[in-house]
Amino acid sequence: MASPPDRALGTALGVLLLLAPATWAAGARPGSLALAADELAARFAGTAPDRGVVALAVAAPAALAGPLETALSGALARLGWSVAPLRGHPLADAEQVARSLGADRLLRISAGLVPGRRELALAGESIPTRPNFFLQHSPSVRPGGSRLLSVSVAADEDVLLLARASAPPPATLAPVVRPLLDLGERVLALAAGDVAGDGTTALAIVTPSGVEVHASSGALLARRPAPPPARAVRHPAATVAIADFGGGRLAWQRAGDAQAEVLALAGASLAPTSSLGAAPLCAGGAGPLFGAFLPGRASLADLLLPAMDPGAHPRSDAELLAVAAAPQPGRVAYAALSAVGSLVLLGPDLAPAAAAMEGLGCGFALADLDGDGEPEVVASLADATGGDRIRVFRPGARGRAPTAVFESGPIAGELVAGAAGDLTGDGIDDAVMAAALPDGTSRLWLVTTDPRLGVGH
Amino acid sequence: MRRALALAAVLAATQARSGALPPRYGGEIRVLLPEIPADLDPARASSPAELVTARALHATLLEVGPSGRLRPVLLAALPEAEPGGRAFRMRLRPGLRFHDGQPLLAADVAASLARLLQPSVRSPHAWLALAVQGAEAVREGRAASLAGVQVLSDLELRVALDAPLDLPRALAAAPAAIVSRSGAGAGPFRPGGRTGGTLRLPVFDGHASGRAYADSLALAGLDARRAARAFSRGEADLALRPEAVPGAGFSELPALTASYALVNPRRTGSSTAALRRHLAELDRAELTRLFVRGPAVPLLGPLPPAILAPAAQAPGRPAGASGGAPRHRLSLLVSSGAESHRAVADRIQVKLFDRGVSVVVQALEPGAFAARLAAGDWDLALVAVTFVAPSPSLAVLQLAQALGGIPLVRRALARLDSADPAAVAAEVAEAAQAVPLFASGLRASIRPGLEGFAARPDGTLDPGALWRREGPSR
Repeated sequence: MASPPDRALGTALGVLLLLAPATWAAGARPGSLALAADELAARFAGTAPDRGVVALAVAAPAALAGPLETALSGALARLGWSVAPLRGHPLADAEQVARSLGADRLLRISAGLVPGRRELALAGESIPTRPNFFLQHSPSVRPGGSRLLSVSVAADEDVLLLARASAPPPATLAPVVRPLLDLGERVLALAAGDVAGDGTTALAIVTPSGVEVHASSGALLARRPAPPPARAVRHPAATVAIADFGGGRLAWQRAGDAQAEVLALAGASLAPTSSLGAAPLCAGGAGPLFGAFLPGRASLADLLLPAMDPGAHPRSDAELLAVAAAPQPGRVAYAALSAVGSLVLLGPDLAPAAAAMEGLGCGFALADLDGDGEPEVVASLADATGGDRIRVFRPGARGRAPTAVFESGPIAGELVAGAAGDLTGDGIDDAVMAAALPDGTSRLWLVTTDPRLGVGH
Repeated sequence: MRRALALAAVLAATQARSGALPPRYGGEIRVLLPEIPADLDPARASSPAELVTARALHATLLEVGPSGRLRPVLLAALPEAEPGGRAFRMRLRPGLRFHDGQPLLAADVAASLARLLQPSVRSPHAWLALAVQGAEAVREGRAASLAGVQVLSDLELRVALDAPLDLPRALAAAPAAIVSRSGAGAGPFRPGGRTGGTLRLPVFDGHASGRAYADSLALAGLDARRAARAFSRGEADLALRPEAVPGAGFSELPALTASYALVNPRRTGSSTAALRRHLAELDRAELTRLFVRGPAVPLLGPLPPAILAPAAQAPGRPAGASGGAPRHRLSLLVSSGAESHRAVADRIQVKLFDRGVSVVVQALEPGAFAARLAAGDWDLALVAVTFVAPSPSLAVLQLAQALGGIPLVRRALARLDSADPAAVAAEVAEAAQAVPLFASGLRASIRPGLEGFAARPDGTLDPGALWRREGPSR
């Protein structure tokens, strides 16, 4: 009967036989896990030139831990190490277990997704654990110094899937809702994104008198006034999107305008660079969408195009009121609100990705507030007392109702527009919601889970 | 867990109303009026139903918003007054068209203003343009256009006055709508067909304020009982009638239809003063409360409180006590088209009989009533004036034309230069031997789901702004 150390070594040998991932064998591009494991193994090897037995302890979201351990074992084995995985042992006990196994070193790794980013991070220590004659009476003393190791790589779909599967989101969210900005006009459309192209997030706000760009703090950066649209529309409406439109990163159009205008932010001015033959509906991580206003109306045709296509025909007679894109798309990448208040949630391929939501107003945004890789719907849902509230929903799977996870206190006015982006710089999406007040002015609210912003509404 | 349950309870409790959505396009809005106007010419619109219909079919240069503030419709901006306030420059929005596709230009504005004065048009609103230079020549048929209106370009014009006039507010009145030479309008809806007592007006995509939300507007004239039945069956969205429709929410429109008792001195001779005194001594509050349908207030002066604050009313001079009772039976003329006038006339008949005056009430069709009035073939009459501009100085002019014709308008215009409108109104009433009785309005009964209704200070509404929350009706 084999002793525990022998079993561990046997397991390691078994792992050795199973290594060399199939993707490599097929000559395909290695996945995130393999890349991260190879990188970390190479760094580990640099800390320990003598090959021997390494005990491997991995702490990661449950569904991710096993594959990561396998990938690391394979990478280490290819570099000449015999690997003894310490599966089932708490990380705190790993060093003692490694010594009892007679391993030369312990590789203790914590892994997970960086909140709000598609990034897999591995961090840990390389700890010498070889039994030392001179320390045989003080087994808890390390025979040498440990080395810190860290690696981060872009997370592919497999990693995102494993991370999400193993970390069910909390039942509720507790974002902070606080005033961001007051405007003297009604807000027609909102977008958040990198207007300047310098990596900072700014807000683009369309009002009846023009378009403004504000810093994430709310400070006005630039303003472009505009005369009334060529064709009068009873209820003013507009779309705005921030993306690379060729020559400028901001595109906007009002109902009644003949064409959309592309603007470039240069210092404190917004300079027109070109025009578009389609209305820029929104832009997010899955790319921009284009559509068209119905002639003479404040509503949009049922047209969602990843690229401008002047010959495209609406999919139906239905009218759309607004379209939003998720900065960090997951299963849901876009949301389109119909004239009857039904919000359709679409995947990156524009196919329905979740159950539709009913009874929402036109103030909504898709923002991954909790950084779990799946955007939440930040929406308005007026209450019977006439006030409005900001609510956050987790989209349900197809055929399943969405889950309400947050509701703010009463908000004055009506929420009429929303946008999402990382305005606080914490790497996680925030949402901005515009409330139209009865006196014709507007107040913008920031919805964020950044703990630095403290208690809000 | 407890927190999650509490949140779920709060969410369920407050999910009672949909979020803010913009107006929905499509469908037909069905409006019930006291009657359907036979004449759709805005220059002759005088009853509330005619004025509402004129707002649907025609567009004015300006309009009075629900807050009472003027805003441009066909104009690109509010008129610019030249120093002295006797001339105004105006600029039309580019690209305007009439329902028939013809462009709407400054020359059409000039022609529409002149049209109000042309005798062939028989407009009761000539007062709107009587202060413009050259009005007399047009009135007398010596000129086709107003000398005071200069067409500067296709889109620009200048209007010069020879008497004080709040021209921007006058141009916002429904009868001042701009019509093409062929009579086409530029309102939010186009003329349509009449089917079974319903006037169906399809939407006009080129309206200056933008396309109306509804695809069509259906106007029907129903009595109170049939209106209530139509509402209960879901066959109507809005009723503009004196009485509220049972079971429907309602709001009151401003009481802008003023009723006056007129005495014809040519027929009553020396009894005129006594008759005016008797009429002035009527308990108008009781008359209003008991005999007038719909929202109404007794008139303490010549102008309705909705136009002029009651405290500012200048009561007419008390009629002199000289003269005795008329020797013969007097006729009291009423129009069958005027709400409540028959009941009020019967009450006046009783009250005058108590004072020894014998009166016979004669109810005539509106056309016959107007003809008798114009011919002077009457002793006493009840006259209703629906004011089209919520401005005291303009209301005085309209009152003057309604009670005394163009000569009285000219006198009022001359007095307005130096006197307070309330005092001028009292002089007008005195000159016309008119005794103010009451002012009444309509109630707007609104079916749940109809949105966009906003009563304006001029008693009308914007039919193009109406929309249905639940979507198209058919």
